[in-house]
Amino acid sequence: MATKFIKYEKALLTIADTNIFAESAELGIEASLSPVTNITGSVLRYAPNGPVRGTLSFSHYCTGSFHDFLNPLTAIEHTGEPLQGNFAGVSFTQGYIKSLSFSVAPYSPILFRSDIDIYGDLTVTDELDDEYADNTLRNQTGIAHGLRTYVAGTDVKINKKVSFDYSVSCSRNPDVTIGNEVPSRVTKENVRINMSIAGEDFGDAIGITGNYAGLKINVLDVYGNNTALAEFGCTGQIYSQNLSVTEGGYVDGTISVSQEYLTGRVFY
Amino acid sequence: MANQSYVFGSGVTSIEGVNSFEIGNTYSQYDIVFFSGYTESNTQYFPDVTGHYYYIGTSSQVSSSSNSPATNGSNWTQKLFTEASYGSMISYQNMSYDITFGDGYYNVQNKSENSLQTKFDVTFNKRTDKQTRALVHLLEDSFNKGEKPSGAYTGIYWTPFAPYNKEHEFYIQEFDRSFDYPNVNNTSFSLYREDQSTIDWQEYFIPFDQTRGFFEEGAKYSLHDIVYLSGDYTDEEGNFTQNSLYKVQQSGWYYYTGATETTATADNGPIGDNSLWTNNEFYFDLNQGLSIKQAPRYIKHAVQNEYFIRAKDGLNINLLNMTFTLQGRTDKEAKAIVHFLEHKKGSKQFNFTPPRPYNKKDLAFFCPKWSHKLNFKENNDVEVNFIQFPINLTADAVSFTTLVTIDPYFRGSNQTQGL
Repeated sequence: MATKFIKYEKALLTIADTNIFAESAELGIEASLSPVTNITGSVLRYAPNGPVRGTLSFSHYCTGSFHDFLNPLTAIEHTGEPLQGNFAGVSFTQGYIKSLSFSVAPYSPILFRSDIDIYGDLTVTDELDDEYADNTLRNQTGIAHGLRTYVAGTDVKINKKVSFDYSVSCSRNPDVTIGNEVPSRVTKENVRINMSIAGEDFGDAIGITGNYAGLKINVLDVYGNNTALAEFGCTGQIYSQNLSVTEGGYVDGTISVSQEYLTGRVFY
Repeated sequence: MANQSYVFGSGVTSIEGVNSFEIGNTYSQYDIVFFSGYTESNTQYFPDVTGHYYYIGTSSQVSSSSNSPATNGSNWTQKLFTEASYGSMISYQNMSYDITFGDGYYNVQNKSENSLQTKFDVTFNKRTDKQTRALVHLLEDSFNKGEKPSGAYTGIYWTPFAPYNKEHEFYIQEFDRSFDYPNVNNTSFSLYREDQSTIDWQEYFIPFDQTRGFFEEGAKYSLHDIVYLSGDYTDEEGNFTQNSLYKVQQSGWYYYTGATETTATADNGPIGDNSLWTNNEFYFDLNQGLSIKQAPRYIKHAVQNEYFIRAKDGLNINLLNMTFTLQGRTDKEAKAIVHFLEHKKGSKQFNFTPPRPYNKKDLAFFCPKWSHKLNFKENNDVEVNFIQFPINLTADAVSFTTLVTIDPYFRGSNQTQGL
């Protein structure tokens, strides 16, 4: 693979046996090392401090129902089962979704951005370029779009919502038992949902505990019916408000909402 | 064997919802049961193996008489069943009588054959609620055993991580548990073992099979290999023979110090003229950042009005006492360091050349305590405390003055009468 120049069209991204229509993708791998020097200053070796960790970041357009496995809130991760995937011939078996974000604005398709932490062995295949391509992805006609996508819920007193952002992120912490190099478990902790909404106002002034807001986003296909491709919620507190204006313009208001989300609890 | 949250007589713990083992129930990993028997066609009791059990199979299983805790090789255990996380540490501390003479001379006598005591500080990080529940139950339940006044307290059986991977009975005194997040828990505790014998020449905590065994000519050896040199060997025909080069005082554990792998010969072997081995020289590299605090002995006479007169206190006034850490060592080197120290038993002398400007040759030290922390795979820290001895006795022959006694009431299996 390293000796080849792989074109974008053939650098296929596959996660959980699903080909992703990625707009961009980046895979980074990092080993945590510390130099060990002897008393004379000579380097004895480089000692590892933890497992090799990779990060796969990509953005993609939603051309059908949203893939649940890319949502850090979905049930698949409750079991701790890792995601398998492949990018440009590099395969991984222990991927853990870490964040998802997107922005909705007028006249714009919605681009979803995802980050996945990767542990375990990476396999670099050296197959033909054609193995990495899926030309059918571009034949799909549906697309999640700002034209019909909307946010509903509590009256946040912004009557003309211009745009909104949504993100959910969590921290992923590996536990490696003695004698092993790869984690026996990668936890999902500190799951937090953030939303911001921009419009002509910023609503009621917030108090010391913020203001309650319960919001729901319905992501719709620009060409489809009213069945949502995906739904996202944020039920938390408005904790930040901003007003801004520049010469020749109008006052813009923005509010930010945050929700601490409980996930991972398994009763037995 | 009713289905209840507390089984009468099973021992009290603070863990809720522990039921009796039942035939036909489906059990999954880290389930806890109290087992005393089962009812199939009739009720069967197993008083010898009665107790709490933990299911360690990775897949769930419908219980039957053929896979009950009473069955050998079943998925149930009473031993410490889960692997520790990196960050765990093992500490050694020798218990000795320190006899001080004049002129700074002293001697160190081990208090018993169990004087070198060990403690495993283990952590179990980021575990699920269910695994932690079973782990904490096992720890709590270990305190339910042993009756006054005779005791007979049963500890926790555990096979530690490599290179200490031999099963022993350990005891705990307390444990800590923290809730990081829903379904994410940390548990840490210390496992004590105070009755390991130092008179076993083969192994202390690092088992014999973690070494290269007996030295063999023709074998390939590399840096930090550990062998035992014995004068005796068995030849190709199975005859027990004594090595002609063998000298009694040269038998013992040797550590390969060569930079590259070589094939062993008599010449480069432990007692060869061009030996690549050492048994008494602490040859491991030291790290930067070493600090040494010196406190020479002196006599301080107090006279009137808080006035003092200081004077020299005889000989051996400035013996080094250093605590330092050998950092970031490979698993193999860390094993060799700990093995070297284990077989010095916390009181035997060895040679060590301190860093400049203290780099006199043939100084003798002993190491009464050390600890080994496993940071990650191939990343180990070993902290040692080296104390200088005033006289180097490492080259002297050892004469044994142990009084061997025979229990007059001992009766062997093949004897009809006592001695």
